[in-house]
Amino acid sequence: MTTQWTALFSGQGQQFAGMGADLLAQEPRYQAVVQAASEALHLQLADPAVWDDPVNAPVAIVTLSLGVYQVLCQDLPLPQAGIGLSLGEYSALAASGMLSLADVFPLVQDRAAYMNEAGAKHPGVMAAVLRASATMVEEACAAATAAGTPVFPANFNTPAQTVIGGSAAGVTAVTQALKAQGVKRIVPLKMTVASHTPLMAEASMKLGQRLAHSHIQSAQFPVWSNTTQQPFTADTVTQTLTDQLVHPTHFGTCLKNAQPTTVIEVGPGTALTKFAAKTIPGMTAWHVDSMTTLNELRKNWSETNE
Amino acid sequence: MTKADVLNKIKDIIADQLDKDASKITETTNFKEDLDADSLDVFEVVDKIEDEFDVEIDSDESIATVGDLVTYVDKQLQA
Repeated sequence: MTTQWTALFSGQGQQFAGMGADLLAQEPRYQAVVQAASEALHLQLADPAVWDDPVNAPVAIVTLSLGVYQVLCQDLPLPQAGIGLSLGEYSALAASGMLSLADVFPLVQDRAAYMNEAGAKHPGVMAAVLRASATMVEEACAAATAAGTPVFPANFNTPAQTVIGGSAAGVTAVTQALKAQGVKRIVPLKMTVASHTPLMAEASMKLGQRLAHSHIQSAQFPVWSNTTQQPFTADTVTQTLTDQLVHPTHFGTCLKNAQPTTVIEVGPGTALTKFAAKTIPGMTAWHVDSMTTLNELRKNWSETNE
Repeated sequence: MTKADVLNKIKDIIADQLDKDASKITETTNFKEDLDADSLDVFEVVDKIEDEFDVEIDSDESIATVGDLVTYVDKQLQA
């Protein structure tokens, strides 16, 4: 019997220098995606200086994810479903065919620019709250926002990890309030932009106008939305991606709804693999972002699918 | 509890939390370099250790390797 799998598409934050160089040297399908991205953006992404430039990080992450996905498609059946985290939703939508390769790369580049502009006008900070219930975090954020220091839940990652984002004063207020309630660990993150909060309102508006020019096609497999916690539909993609920038992500709930038994994270790092293991204990989880991890997966896949 | 017991229990907790093979974890194992763990992962391990050993670990304590944690917990248990 062939193993059914769900594809997880990495978000930002786990990119590393030189990522994908081994895949680029050895995998033709990966090379083709780098080529497509380079043409769509008029950038030489095969040049390490361009590829590793922090300005191009969102594009590089999506390129790596889609390149790895194309390589996996040689050996694996279509995934049952796709789930991305934030930026990773663009990779997921492109993998499913809903967004074309020609559209997705300029789109993520523009999205990053809108977010940076909004962040420059409304600087934000983010922090991860560990081992507090979602309700506690929501209530503490609402109280601080009502008191004039805006702060919001931004990422519901796992049952034990929620990231908050907002004004520096708001994040400090929530940190103090939650600590007073016995929450021990609130870890500041190295972010200057409060993604997935109302501080991104201007970016969301610009993205909405920009998305109006994208051609949405039908999906080869369902892609779960972090925002609606439902699969994207051709009719809702534009609005959902617009809302995504100002609404919290619900990755954990998407996973629970999709009920995967095997997940493969395509893209840099292991953040989503770890979230998956914490959300659904006992699940088989792989990640592929290099030749080493690709070969490990190929070996195990052929052994379990003989 | 001997220091060796502390190490074994901590190894099991790390293996469980970070989905790694306990037999490959030693005192010199570095969280970031050998286990691909970021600071949030380390805090999740630390939280679990606090529960299991009934100790308090300061958030500012610098923890790079498994040995750092073992030494810290062992000291707390002796105190």
